[in-house]
Amino acid sequence: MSTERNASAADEKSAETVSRRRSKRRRKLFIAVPLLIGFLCMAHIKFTEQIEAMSNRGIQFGSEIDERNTPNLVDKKAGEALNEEEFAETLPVAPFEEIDCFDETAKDWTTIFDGFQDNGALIFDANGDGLMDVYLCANGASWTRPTDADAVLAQKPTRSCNSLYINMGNDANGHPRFASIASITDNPEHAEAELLIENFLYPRKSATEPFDSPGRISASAVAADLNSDGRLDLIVGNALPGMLWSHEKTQRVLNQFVRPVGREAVHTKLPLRAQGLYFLKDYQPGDQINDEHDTARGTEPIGSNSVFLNLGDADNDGIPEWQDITHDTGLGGKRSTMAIVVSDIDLDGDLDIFESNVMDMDFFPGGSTELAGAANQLYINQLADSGKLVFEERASAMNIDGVYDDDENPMPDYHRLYRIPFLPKQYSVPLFRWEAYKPDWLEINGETSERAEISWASIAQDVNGDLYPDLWVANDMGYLRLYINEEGKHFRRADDHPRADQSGYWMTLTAADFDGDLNEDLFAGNAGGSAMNIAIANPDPYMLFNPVISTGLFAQHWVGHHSSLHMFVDGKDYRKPLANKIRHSASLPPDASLPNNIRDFLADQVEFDRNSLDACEFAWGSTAIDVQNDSRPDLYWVGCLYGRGGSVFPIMGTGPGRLLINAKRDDSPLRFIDLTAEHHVLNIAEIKYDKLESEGVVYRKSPLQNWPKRSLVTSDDVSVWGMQGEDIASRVTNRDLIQASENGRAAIAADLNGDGFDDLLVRNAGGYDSRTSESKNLKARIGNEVHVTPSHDANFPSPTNFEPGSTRTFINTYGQRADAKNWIKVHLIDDSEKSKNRDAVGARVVVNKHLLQVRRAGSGGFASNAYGPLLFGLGDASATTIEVTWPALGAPTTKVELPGHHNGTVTISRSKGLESWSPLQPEAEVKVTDR
Amino acid sequence: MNRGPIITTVVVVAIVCAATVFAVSKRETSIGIIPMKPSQENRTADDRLYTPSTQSLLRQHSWLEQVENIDLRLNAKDEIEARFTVDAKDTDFADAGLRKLAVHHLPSEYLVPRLHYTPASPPDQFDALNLMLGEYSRNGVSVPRGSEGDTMAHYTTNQTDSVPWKLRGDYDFIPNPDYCPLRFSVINNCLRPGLWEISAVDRTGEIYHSWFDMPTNRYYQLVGDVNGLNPDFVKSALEWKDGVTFPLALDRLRKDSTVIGDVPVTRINAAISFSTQGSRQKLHNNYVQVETETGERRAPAELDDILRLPVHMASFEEPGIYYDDRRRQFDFEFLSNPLTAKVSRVDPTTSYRWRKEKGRPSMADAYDYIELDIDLGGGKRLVLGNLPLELLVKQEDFAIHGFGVGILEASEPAERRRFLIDKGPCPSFAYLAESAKKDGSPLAALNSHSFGIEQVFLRSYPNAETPHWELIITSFERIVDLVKYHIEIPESLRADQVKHSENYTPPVFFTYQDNNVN
Repeated sequence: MSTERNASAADEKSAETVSRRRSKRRRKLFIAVPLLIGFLCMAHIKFTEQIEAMSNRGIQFGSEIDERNTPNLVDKKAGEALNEEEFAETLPVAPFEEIDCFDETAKDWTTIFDGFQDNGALIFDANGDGLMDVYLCANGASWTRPTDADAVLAQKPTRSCNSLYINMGNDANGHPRFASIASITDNPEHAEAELLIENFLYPRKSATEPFDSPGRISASAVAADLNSDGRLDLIVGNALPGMLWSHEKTQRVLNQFVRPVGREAVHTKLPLRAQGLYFLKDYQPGDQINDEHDTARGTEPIGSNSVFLNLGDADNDGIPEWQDITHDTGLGGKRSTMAIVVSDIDLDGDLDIFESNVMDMDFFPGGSTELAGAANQLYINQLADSGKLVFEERASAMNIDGVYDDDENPMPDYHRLYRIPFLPKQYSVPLFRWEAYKPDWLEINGETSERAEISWASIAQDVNGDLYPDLWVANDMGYLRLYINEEGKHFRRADDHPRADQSGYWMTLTAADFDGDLNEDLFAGNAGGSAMNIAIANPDPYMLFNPVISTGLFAQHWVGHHSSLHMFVDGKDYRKPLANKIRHSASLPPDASLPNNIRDFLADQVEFDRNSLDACEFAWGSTAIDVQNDSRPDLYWVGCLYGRGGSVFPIMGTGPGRLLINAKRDDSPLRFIDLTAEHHVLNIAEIKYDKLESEGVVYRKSPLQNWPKRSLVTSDDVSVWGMQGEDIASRVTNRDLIQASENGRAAIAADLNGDGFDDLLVRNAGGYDSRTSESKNLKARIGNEVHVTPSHDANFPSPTNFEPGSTRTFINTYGQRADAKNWIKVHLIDDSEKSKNRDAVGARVVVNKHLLQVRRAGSGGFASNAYGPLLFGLGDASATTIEVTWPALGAPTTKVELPGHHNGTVTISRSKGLESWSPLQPEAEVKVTDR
Repeated sequence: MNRGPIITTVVVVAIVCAATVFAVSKRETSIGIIPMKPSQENRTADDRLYTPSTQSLLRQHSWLEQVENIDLRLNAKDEIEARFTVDAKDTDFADAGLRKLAVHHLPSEYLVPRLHYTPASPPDQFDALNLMLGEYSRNGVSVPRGSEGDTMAHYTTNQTDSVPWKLRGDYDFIPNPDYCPLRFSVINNCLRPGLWEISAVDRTGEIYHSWFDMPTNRYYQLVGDVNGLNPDFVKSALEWKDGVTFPLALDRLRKDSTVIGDVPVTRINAAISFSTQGSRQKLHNNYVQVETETGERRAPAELDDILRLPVHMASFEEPGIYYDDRRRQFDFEFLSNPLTAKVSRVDPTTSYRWRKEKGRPSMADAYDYIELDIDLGGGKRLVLGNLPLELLVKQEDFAIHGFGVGILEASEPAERRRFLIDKGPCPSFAYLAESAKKDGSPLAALNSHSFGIEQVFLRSYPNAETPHWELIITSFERIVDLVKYHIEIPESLRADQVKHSENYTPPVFFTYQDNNVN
């Protein structure tokens, strides 16, 4: 019993022990589990805090942020010094002289929200009188309303149209005078045919007809003799009426204010919505590529281009008459056409047409996680075969349409941060691992974008010497493409050029033999060196798991998939970049040329030399120009993503224009000197240069709105325009004056006054963002009262009176110097029996065995074209030999010996060789012509 | 051993302690529920508000107009916590409902007159002068919208609208009363102790402006606390005193003054100008006029006009509004004939953190400092001191925001002010003074406000043919630039001044702003 009792007691004890143990275990669990959960929560919170801190500081991107207790005492880093001996001496500067030679129609009446498609410029001899005329594109359907003298909004938009300005000869100062055809046409019989190229949907029958009917939105224009009749025809690239950032999927994403002091960083998308959405009540974004409207040509796609055949000047009033052959030729198309290249693609003797397209601006995908684009088109001329000027569209068949497919043009990988499945996203940030992906295609209101690239610019260039023109295509938020022409039958995408594997924001192309090795090089313009400015915020890593396109690309700087820098391609071998050095402006250098401003932590991923083209800013229109006629081609460009500074992205997207003077010595690599200010061609309104020589500064009255400082601003003035935390804000300097740059779009060189020296034409976009010294706050009428209208979005600066975009003309004055250099113009005629390419587009011309130029229709610069005789600067020499390689298989090279001609025009024909020599008439140098 | 009770006790104690700490940290002291007086400005003939500030289309439409009182408190860190609440009525453009806005963590010390140096014991007339000069200088701080976790001054609101208008048709705007301000300002007005203002802006202009009276005793207490002074002394010091002189005890503000030398000062004529963006409207809207010999009043065309002709400026009166029909007349001829400037190296004893830093200010070593004693002729002198040489550069102006010691900017983002107070250089000072009599008696300071001068801007031109500093004096209420002097940089400073410009990066206390827009 006792045993039983004992056993029972033992059992009880054991059970009690077990129970106690269990209870103890439960208690332990009761304590341990919450502790563990608490620990995990604490660890998670701590980890999150760490990641937050890291993302705020940018540490995960390897940035080197110094902690400093004493602000503004940051040591200035010394940059690598230039070897000055490698720079050739340049001529004493003769500044350009700006003239005001166009009327109000030449101004741009759009805003940045209309996209980038209203400012094309074409310089050509429309009437065959030997003088260069100017054709300016405009948005004939602008929604923007002008303002009166008090900045009060008008009741309706300003109507605008394309305009041809006839060169009326020079004035007593040797400046060209231009008259719009509307102002000089006076023959009722021909007025409608003369005014046809205004590009209204229903052409005006006379210049007295009101100006308020809708027109097309014209982006670009080129001239070429399509039917080989000796007269230059006109092809106008038209665009669709979209609006940037008009849909919530595409609203521009701003970089967050990173590393704020004493605030929580914002980790959300910061959208910048289109201004127009808040000005127009019922704007509906959508893709209008397939939409049609009624016009005088009948029902046609809204985006249809316009092709005008030059009929000559029957009434001899200096204004050619035109015939609309858009439908007859089949060249209409339906997309927004930004660039047109005319070239004999298949070398069959006639001129074919390649058009580069972009999507409807409602689909502009910078702020979208999905891509958008538009197919490019290649129109093969049937003239040589059939005798009829009709074209067959063959872009897809010849693999040049830029549409992604599964075989020859596969879609490239884009990259995003890898996210570990199931775990909170902050756990994936420290991995900083990138994964390849292919973005979806943007769909808005039931319409999906074409699966193609965004092609702003293109240029024909024979990169492999087989005579067949190859094609470069500058694509935004994508890749610079080189398509090798395979005997006119097919194009092969060349993936071995220097940036073939790096995305960029390519926008402009300019060809010239910059290094003088008889191989034509290529300048390809990108967003520019500003992207290397440390004041631009690093994208929030949390946004990179599913990045919007522009931010995602920008972030890929860190892994080398992307580069925003401009590039020279070496003409000798297109697979190599052309190394260069630039002595930057002493008065207004690019911000990214200052060592303290550089995101040097990217050095391993992005090769960056601040003493080179790398540091230069954003480029839209670019052009080659031999400013001094010293035989060395120089380079000029303008461009702002958002100019008229103080706007969104002030550092990244703003550039004052750069004129790089070629200072290459015969025995040295490519060298340039930035002499933009010295030549008075900064694209900044109201700028004054009179203190440049004495004090080394340029200056102007400060903009009266959106300008934080005193009433005068000089090129010395600095601020910090970036949004960053204390550490970076105390390190960077941004030149204030750069922020006053106009919104440059087109830039093109041509000899406007016939003196043998190229002048410059620049076009700017307008907007409610005036930076003049008399700008006023935008005002609207509400009832009977006038009220100041603030910005629609606090990220956007205060709107001002509408300031139309200017068209600026800079006249080269080197020709007025006593020691002016020599020049020669070469005019080509392909008069061979079968040729329908009378102007020999594509011909390669070499003067004196060392100066090379190529005849082109479609200059390559963004919306910027010129078509005239080739102008060669000869330095102190005269022309003794000219060799012409005709764009025809098997055609012998024409070699012309000259007795030392200079300062005149030589005409060379394929059948006769030297056809004529026309020296510049002394009286023509200061010619006064009255019609 | 049963540890349960012990654990329970520990937990309870910990909770109580935490709650106590939390409660203490959240303790707020009420300053008062104070009536708000919105839109007090005068009106023009066409019924517009007569104010130099740009007025947005939202002005007088914001829901804030309906706020009757400000609930003003100080938290445990003596930061201003201000609450604005209204149960808004239904309107054509906004629904009825509770609207709330509150300013948080705005240090009260930012907004009151500050000595920036250790006063005499007991405080004397010089200290009183400096408090008075500070009081009668406008002092405003703006804050952006923020969130709960922000330690930097900010505001919060339950409103979310970020577009200032709604559309009735194309370009047909209707003000949106529920728009969230871009920044919200608290301002210590310059006309009377205790007169304060509230202002809210969108990106372009004011959408709301209101005035309120800070209880004066509480205000004197606050100024006393910030400066370590007795409120009675503060009260007496802040009284407006005109037509009297004050002993100028510069040795309290710097020591070891070493004279570098006397340099010539030249007055420069130039087109009329403004030095800050805030003045542009005043200049362009005739807030300043000169009276010609024929009695006609017109806008000045050049600086010379200001000096040779009587100047009439729009009067700025209680509660802090401008009068177009009442003009204050000034005679600035005393600025016309500057003679020389004595340039000295000095070792400052001023500090923005003077009550926290005992002994020599930490920023005294971070910069080199000079003093300019400019003989204006006619017995008057302009003394500018503790000027940090590294900030006298060609790239931008070094601003002295008012006469006195370290006068703060009339309108400044809270972020920037925080950097200035935490990391700024030793505060500079400026005085208009009567020169010592020939018997060598000390300089006597004048109430500069009475003479119509308010700010000084300095910029260095070390690379000019004759290296010089350009000095600009601006007027009463910062309406217009009055005069421009070129002061030759002494030979011994020129090389350094070149280097300072070469090395210059704008300091964060000049540049930093975080609107935190989202």
